[in-house]
Formats: sequence, C-alpha cells, structure tokens
Amino acid sequence: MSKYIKVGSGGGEVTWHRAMLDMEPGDYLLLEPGYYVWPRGRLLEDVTIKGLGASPEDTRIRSFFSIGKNSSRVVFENLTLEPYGDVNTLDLPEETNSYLILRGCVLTGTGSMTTTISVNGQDTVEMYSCRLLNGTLSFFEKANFRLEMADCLLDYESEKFGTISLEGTGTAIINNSEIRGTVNSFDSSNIELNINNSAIGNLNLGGKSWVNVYACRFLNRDYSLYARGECWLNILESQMPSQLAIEDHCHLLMQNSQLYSFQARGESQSFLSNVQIAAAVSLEGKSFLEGSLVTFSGNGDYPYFIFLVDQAVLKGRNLQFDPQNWPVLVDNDARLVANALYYQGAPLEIKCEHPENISLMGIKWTERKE
Amino acid sequence: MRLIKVSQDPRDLSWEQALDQLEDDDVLMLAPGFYQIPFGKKLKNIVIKGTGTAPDMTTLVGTVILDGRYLTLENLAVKTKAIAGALVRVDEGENAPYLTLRGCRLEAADTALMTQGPVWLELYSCQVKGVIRLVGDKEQHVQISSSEIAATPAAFTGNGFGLLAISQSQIKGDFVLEESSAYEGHFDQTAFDQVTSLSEGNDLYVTESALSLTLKNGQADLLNCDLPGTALLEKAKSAAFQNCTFKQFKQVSGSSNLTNCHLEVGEIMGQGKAFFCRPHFSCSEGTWLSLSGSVQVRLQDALLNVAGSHLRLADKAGILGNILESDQDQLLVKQTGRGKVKLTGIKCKLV
Repeated sequence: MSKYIKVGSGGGEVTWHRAMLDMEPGDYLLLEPGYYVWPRGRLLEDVTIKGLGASPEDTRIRSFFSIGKNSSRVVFENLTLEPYGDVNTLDLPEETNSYLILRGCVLTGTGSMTTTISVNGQDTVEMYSCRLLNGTLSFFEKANFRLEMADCLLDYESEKFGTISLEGTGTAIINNSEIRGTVNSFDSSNIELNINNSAIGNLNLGGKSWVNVYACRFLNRDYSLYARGECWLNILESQMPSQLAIEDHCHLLMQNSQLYSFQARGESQSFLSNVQIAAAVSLEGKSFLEGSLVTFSGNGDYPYFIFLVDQAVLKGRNLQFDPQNWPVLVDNDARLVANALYYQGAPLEIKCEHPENISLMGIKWTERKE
Repeated sequence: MRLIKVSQDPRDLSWEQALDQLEDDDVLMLAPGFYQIPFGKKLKNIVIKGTGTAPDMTTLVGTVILDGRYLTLENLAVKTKAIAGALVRVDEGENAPYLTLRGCRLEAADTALMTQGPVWLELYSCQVKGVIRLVGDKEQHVQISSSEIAATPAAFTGNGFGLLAISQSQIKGDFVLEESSAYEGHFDQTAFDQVTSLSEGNDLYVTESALSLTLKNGQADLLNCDLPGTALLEKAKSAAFQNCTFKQFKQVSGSSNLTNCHLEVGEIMGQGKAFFCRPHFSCSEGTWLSLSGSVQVRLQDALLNVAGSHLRLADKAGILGNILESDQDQLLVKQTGRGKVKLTGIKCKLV
C-alpha cells in the first residue's frame, strides 16, 4: 500500500531521520524545502522522493543511494542530489532490474573518477529536465540498459572521463539536451545511440556502436567525432567545428552537414551527400569515400586539402572544389575518380605518383612538381 | 547491407528496379523527386533516405506499409491523394516492429500513421499533418521528439499500453488516451491543445509543458506546467501538481495535491479531497474557490490576491487551513451549506 509521507520540520511532518529509517517499498516521500543529510546512504526499492520547493535547489539531499534488487522503479523529482564522500550518488548494481526516473532534478558530482550515476544491471534510466553538473553517467560492461534523456544539461568537461560512458549492451536516446563533454562507447560496447536536436561536446566511439545523429551541434574544438571498430554512423543536418575521424571497419553516412575536416583510415567506408568540408579530407589505408554534392575546401591548416595515400579511394559525383590555392596529394596506389560541378578557378594542383589513378571530369588539373 | 542509389541517372537503379531487388537491411538513397509506391506494396527491414536538402524534395506518393521487423524513413515526405486509409501503416506482426521517422513530413487527409499491433514508434523532427492512431490493445512504445502533429479534432489516439515519451513537440489537436489504455506517459516541454486520459491505467508525468487536461480515472503528476485552459479531474486516482499555473482548476471527484501552484479559479465538488500547499489564488471577480458536495479542502500557507471575489461553499463541503498573506483584511465567504470553515490568519465574513 502506497504511503504519502511528508518530510520536514514544520510540525505535523515526519523527520528526515525517521523517514529514512522507516521507508518501505511503495512510499512517496514529499520533502519540504530544506537540506537533508544522510551519511550512511540508503538502499531504495520502489520509492518516489519528491522535493516540494519552487525549484530543485530548494530541496537538497546529501547522501548516496543504491537501488535494491527487488526494485522495479525509483523516482526522484524536483530536488538536488549532492554526493556524500567519494561514493556513487546513485548506484544500480548488477542484480538490479529497475527503472530509475529523474524529473526536474539537479545532480552534482565529485569531478573525479567516481561516477554520479552508475548502472551495472538491466536497468532503464530516464532523465527529463535534469542537470548533471561536474559528474558523470556511466553504464558499465555488465549493463543491459536503456537511457532516455530529454531537455537535460550535462556539464562536465574532462580529458580523463566521459560525461556519458556507454559500455555493455543497450540503447541510449538523447533528445534536446546539451552534453558539455564526451560521450564514450568502448571496444566491448554493443549499443544503439540516437542523439537528436542536441549539442554534444564530442563522441568517442568504439566496438559495435550504431549511432544516429540528427540536427546536432558539436562543441569540442579538438575533435568532434572519432569512431573505431565496427561502428555504424548515420549523421544528418549536423555541424562539426572540428575533425571527424573514422577507422577500422566503420561505416559513415553523412548528409546535409558541415564539418571542419575528415579523416578515414583502415577499411572504413563513407558516403557523403551535400556535405561541406572546410579544411581537409584525408584518406589512408583501404578507406573508401563516395561523395555526392560534397564541397572540399582548403584553408591552409593542412598542406593538402585532399590527401589520399595507400589504397584509399575517393569517388564522387557533382563535387565542388574550392582549393584556395592549396594542392591535392594522391600518393601510392590511391585513386581519385570524380566529376566536378562548374569551376572557374585555377586548375587543381595534384601531386601524384601515378597520374593514371586520377580521373577528374569537369575540372582542369595539373601535376604538381616538387 | 547494401547502399543503393536510386535516381534517373542511368548509373543508378530506378525506383522500380530498387523495389524489385530489395533485400533485408538495404539502405535506399533516393535522389530528389517523386516516387510512387505501388498499391499494396509492403516494405520491410530497410532504410529509405531522401538525399535532398529538405524533406519535401524527396516525396513518396502512396501508402507506406511496414510488414517486417523495421522500417526507417529519413529526410523525406510522404503524401497521398487518397482520402481514406492511413498514409503510413504498421501491420500486426509476431514481434513488435520498429518504425523510425527522422526529419520527415507526413501529409494525409485524415490518418497519417496507424499501427495495428505492438510497435516501437520513433518520430524525430517530423511534421505530421493528420492523426496518429495506435489501434489495438497491444504494447506500444512511442518516442516523439521535436515534432509537430496537427489534426482536428484528435491529433493522437492510443488504445494500448506501454511507454509514451514526448519531448519538445507540439500536438495541435486532442491527445486522447482511450478507455482501455494503460500508458505511462512522460511528456516534457511539449505544447498540447488538450490531453484527455480516459482510463485508470494511464499514468502521466508531465514536465514544463503547456496543456489543457481532462483526467478521468488514472494518475497524473505535473511539474512546472502551464494549464491555460481547464484542468478537469474526474475520479482521478491521484493527481499531483507542483509549481503549475492554472486558469481553471476543476475537480469533480477523487483527490488532488497541489504544491506551489498559481490559480485563477478553483472548483471542487463531489466526495474527494484536495490539498493546497502554498497556493496562490489570483482572482478579481466572482468565486475564486467554489466547494460543493462533501469535499474537504485543506489550505496550507495560502497567498490570496482575491479582492472583489469570494469563497463559496455549498452542501457539506468544508475548508480548513491557514492564510499566510492576503490583499484583503476580510475574506468574503458565501456559504449555503453546513460544512466547516476553519481558516486562520484572516477574518472570514459571511455574505
């Protein structure tokens, strides 16, 4: 039987101490605005904890919680969760099979390797209108998870730790949110990641990551996306102000997007349609790129604005070249086969080992001598 | 998995050839243009992408029928000249199929999208002109984000159970969860014309949204919402509102709990209870709170800005609690019944 328990110190209410001791599955704790500390931490099973303040900051809990194996649903609403010591604030261990729902909450982390929300079980985490500050959200190797996030801000930029780490198996859906930091997946990951209408620091992907990015803005100036392993990337209507790099057996489909530079290695395959590349494209190994209505520009940040080596292939239709006087390199057994849209600038300068590996229609080119 | 380019270019496949040669997991890249779907053609386990710079540049004409594990449509429009039938239809299968629409426009005369069995439905950045109907008492998982659905009178109807997650969207028209439904709805930053939940199996969790609400049976939990129309509760199992703004709050029966809410007018009748914690009533004429039946209302730390209006009690309805602050020295009370009025912090004047 559900009990509504009003917690506070205004008279006629249960004290926080009593509520923590007596809490049972099915209870709803309604917390009056205030600061609640519970140094011992608490196991939670099927409870809802709501702050009654006008904003989440009005009701602050400083403690740490673990979700019990018998729990099916734990909800936090309209409150702030602060860490107590160097412990995961919310921990879902391996044996859990529960929903964790956060609505209108603020979570602050420790800014260290201690994760704020740690998921190891078969759990669903739902976050709506939440902020996670200076902390991380991690799904570990044993996790079989689902993450649903909308209207959230995750603010933690770290060179060491991912803001969101997706290991294990599962699906993550991120809508209308801002992630100031890195979203990671690992070599052992087998995940689907859907990001829509969001701002993301960058993506660092590995393993089998099936990724759909729609109408997103990347924030990091060092790199926007790096993928290795067997990732499948489908990117639409997005902006990347820094490098997109793929290798191994990754597949990339990119449409209607802008990026600063593109690098492909290994046996990666890419298909780009209506994409603008501002600085350079670099293909190495056995990588293959096919483009349609792709604009390749040079801006002087790289010595070649198109750099093809090894057995890489760049093939395209209706390409646009805007070299800004920077040359192209087609070295080793690499091949460039394309036709260009109308171009009236100076001929392309191409440094090449085997001119027969170049077939360019619609644009003049000359061999560049050292 | 094959990437298949479809266009009028002789180096590519034609639309008809592509349809004839379809294999599971194919990705069709359609050049801008119009593509007629043959009548009765069923699609399964493929991705169809428009390669134009806007969805309208690549248009599928006809009815899209999903009969398989999944179908993904991206960056394209689906239109039909037919008046009857659904524009996009998901047939009932053994397992719940996935239908994903990303950056699509659907334009139908009536039903834009209909599912007939269990389904995983995902709409991201879509514009839908026409109704979305989830038919059948089956598990339906729906994810709608950054989309607009417009139809009259109903824009969305659901008759099954499962999770409905809707964020940053606009639903222009009624959003109806029907009598046998049992959904868990998570709605965030979404503007609804009208949300109607007719089943006690529905649990609605709404954050930072704008809506008119009719809750018959069921449960709702609203946080930081704006209710510019009428919020009508009938036999609500539990209704909690926090930091919400109401134009008109009406409770016919059941119980409700309002915390930090702003209200213009409240009307509570029947046999239930209502608890207002730190409410702010702002009303300049008529009745700011009307109680009837045997309803019992408790006010805690109420703020009143009700000059020119009054509190009305009828039958056995009663009210108790305290007023923290008021713009009036005396509270005007019209009482025609026998209920208790016990309010501290202000003098009550019977009129």
